[in-house]
Amino acid sequence: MVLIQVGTKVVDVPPGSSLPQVCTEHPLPIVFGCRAGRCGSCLVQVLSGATNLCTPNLREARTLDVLDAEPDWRLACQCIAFGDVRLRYV
Amino acid sequence: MGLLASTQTGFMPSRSPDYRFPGLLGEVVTLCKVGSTVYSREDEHEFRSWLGAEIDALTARTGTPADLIQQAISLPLPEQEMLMVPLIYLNHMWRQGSPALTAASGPSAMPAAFDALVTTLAESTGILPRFNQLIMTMRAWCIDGLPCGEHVSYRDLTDLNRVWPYFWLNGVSQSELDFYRAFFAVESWGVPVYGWGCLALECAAADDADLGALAMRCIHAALRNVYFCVRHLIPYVNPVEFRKIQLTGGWINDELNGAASGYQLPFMLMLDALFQVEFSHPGAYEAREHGLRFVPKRWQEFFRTIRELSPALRPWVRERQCPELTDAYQRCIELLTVYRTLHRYLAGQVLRGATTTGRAFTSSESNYRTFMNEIGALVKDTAALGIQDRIERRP
Repeated sequence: MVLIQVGTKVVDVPPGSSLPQVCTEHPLPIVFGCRAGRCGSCLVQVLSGATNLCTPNLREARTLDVLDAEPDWRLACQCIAFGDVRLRYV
Repeated sequence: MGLLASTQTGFMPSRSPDYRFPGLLGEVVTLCKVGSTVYSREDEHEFRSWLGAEIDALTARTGTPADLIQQAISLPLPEQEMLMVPLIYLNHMWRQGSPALTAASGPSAMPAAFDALVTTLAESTGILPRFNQLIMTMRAWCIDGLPCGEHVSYRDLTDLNRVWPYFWLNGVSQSELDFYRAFFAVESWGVPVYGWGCLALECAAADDADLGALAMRCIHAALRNVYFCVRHLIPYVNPVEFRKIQLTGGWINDELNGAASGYQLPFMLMLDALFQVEFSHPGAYEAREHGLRFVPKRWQEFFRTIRELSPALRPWVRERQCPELTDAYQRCIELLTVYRTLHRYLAGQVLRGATTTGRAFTSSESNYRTFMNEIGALVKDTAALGIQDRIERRP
């Protein structure tokens, strides 16, 4: 199991869980919109465990780029967690 | 441009809104302020009987209803537009009766003296007498620490925690404040777009690629600010209040109209005109044309002019083949596409009745589907304005 923390909330999920799925099953404070990496509503800052997330796909990288996102920001809807991560909703 | 908008406040007034009208017209403003408190008691009989008596008393002190109208239309045009604001709030409260009731529908009118007053002012100013962005967002605000009539700066307008609605619909409530600031933020943070947008057009005419790229980068920066404000505020909009304003505020005689809409915000009109967004979906086109009916005629003229000039922009960027200019233009288009996509999903959740914060109300599924289809088409129309796939700069 891996730990996913968003703000003060922590949940325990199997490795390889997608963040949208985790947020559907647990009340984590992330607002989702398109869930396709195109709207940016689920922007999060990765406070720790960045290497435990899948690398950004082309769609996510493009949206992050056009938003002038900070290097440690990700779109939660495109993330799969393979290890512990600590996030902050931006 | 300078006659319509400023670099500090855009299309918002350059001085803090001043509702101190001469003589008995000033009492219309007082009625609106007090009326909100009576209205928030949630008793439609009490509210209508109170407002009816107040209107009768006011008219009696004036002489005749015609005297009140004469005083109003003697005001300069900008002051007439300001006087429309409390009258529209009162009209909404009269129609709805109580904030606890489901959204009112069907035609209705205030007591004759005020109905005649608002109708006459509507004809004189060219503003439809219903809730819209001009009324809610552009003219009815106050800022902590800034007296009525004082000069306003961009810094004041973007300090959202100091911004409040001048009039309230339902006493004073956090959800109404969230609703208000969600719209206000778009226009206040979007102010720089007018100046930089006009400069971009001038650069196209003068073939100045370096300055044109700078103008585009600044448009991108302003749009990014608006994007992040909207992203944070929309999830807090209370769908119950939104629905009441949309429906109840939308009746004009026997006609049902959409009310508060992004198509009435000069910020969105400017971007659509500047980049020549096509509006290929008939419903989206109709909605934009309808929204323009709420905007003063002199503003409509401005956006028509921008539309006529801006066909030069995209061909110029493409033919110039300047990498910095192309990249800056492309990033504007892509960010506008992302912004519209964000708006589509977040506002769609409000329209459907359940916001992301978990509040719910009776659903309006067809309204939701129409909105999603129209804005979906608009997202595609916007994305189609791009010139090339940018080289990814992120690792």
